[in-house]
Amino acid sequence: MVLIVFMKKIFFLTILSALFLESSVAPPDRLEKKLNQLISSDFSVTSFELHEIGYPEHIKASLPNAFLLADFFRVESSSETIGFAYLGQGPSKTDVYDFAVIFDANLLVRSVKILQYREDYGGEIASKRWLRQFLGKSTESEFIVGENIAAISGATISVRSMTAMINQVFDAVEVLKTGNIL
Amino acid sequence: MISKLRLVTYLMLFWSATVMTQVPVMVGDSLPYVQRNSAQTLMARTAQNPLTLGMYGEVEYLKPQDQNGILDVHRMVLLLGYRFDERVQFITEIEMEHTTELYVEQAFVNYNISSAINLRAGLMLIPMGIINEYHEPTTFNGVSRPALDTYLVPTTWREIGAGLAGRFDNLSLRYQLYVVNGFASVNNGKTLNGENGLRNGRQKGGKSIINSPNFSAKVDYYGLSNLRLGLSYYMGETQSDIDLMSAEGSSVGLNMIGFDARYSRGPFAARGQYIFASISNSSSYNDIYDSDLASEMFGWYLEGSYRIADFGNNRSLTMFTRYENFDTHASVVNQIKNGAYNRKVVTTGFGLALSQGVVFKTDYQWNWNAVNDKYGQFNMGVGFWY
Repeated sequence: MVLIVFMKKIFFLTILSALFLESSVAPPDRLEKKLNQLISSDFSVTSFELHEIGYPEHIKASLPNAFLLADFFRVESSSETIGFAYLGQGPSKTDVYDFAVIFDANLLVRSVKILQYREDYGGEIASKRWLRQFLGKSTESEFIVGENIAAISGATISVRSMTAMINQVFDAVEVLKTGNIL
Repeated sequence: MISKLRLVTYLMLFWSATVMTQVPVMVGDSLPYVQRNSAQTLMARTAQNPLTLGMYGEVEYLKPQDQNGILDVHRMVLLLGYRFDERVQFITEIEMEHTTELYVEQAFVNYNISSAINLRAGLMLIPMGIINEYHEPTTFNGVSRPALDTYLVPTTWREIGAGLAGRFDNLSLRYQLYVVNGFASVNNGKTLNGENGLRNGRQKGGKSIINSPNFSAKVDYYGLSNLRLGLSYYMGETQSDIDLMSAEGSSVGLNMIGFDARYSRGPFAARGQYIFASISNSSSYNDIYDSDLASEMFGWYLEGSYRIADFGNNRSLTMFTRYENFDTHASVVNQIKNGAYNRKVVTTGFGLALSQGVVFKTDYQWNWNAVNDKYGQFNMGVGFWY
């Protein structure tokens, strides 16, 4: 009986503290914070600048809409370009998820992370182990689910979506490379 | 009084701990210092349509050997979700079965604290095996769900309750933990029995009676390439009429464990499931209610499939075969084992996907058991999910 009361108390307090800790962070800040932490740990830097990359009109025409709507930054530290950061959104079964792709200065993938996954279906794509498949790849690569990207049972739609998103980002980066923007 | 004081002390401690941990965050020395040249560029990513609308359904033609063929709009399910903000979401599935029976299949609120912790309350699916949770027609082979997932795991098995769910991305792990209502000992005059196991006890969340909460849990592991493993557990007493509660055998105790695996690589896919259920008190229960419920039930199936042709644009043709063996009379107390409840089913057929969310299915099934000879059944159907 005492144990049950104690357990109840712990449960209650855990929930309460969880609410307390998290509710003070508004959603956009949460995303931004996650992106910044990712960049910081990827490059082992504590201070950096994010510069938005501008595209001339003729380049814009050959970039997909989703890419133009997303954020693509040059990451600078001590006045030196250390990498690039893409913050985009992809469709899951009935919602959208936010993801980040971090490139090093040579445009090889340094990390891929799902920053926010909103629905129940398909959250498995946030698995670090699954996302590791994209690491170190150059933007010339192309990914096909079931061939060079493993499927996840129960998360087929999101696996296809995330793979398509990465392919799209890679294609766009190739366009920017060809256009001497990067 | 003392315990209240203690609670207040705990709260104060937690509050101070919370404030303490937040201080460095505010000062900013544990976070990277970031300078943006265009601070407004980060999109307002929350401005999405808060309403989720979806549907799935299946229309079937079933032709058992020497019997009438049946044409049936088996299920039409409307999925509705509403996102109140980034953390709070309500999800419901409203189901029409056989065009006349209306059910609520799910209706719960999800409060997202982090990807690892979601609080849930409402009418939820019991995570047991594969099909009960993943039952949309485009996600499984064959016109009908595996027979095991009808007789042993009574899909669609849902209960009202509350609990926790979440993912650990570092571990490739997903978990669910719920406290829920359980089966009714007697449900509108129908008892738990040898043929259907627990199926008749499903209260489906409509004016369901409760006097003993049940517990349901599942862990899914997807950290091995192409493979996904699941371990499910369910335990609890059945719910009985309050006037009978004290009587021995008015309820039975249930322990169910499930193991499932799904593998998929290129055109090849395989899945399997094993379920074991132990039922305590079945003998007294059978005495009271004049039934033939077993003390143990078990079953398993294995299925292999191969995508024979891929026409592009999510159009493909898949062939599959599934072998099932389940016994809802695996072990009995003070009664004679009915061999007809030790069933075997072989199903083989094709699935023609016309897009990501539409599939035409056709298959043939052989059913037999320890007592009766094989009889066949031909099935055709169309399923969709969006």
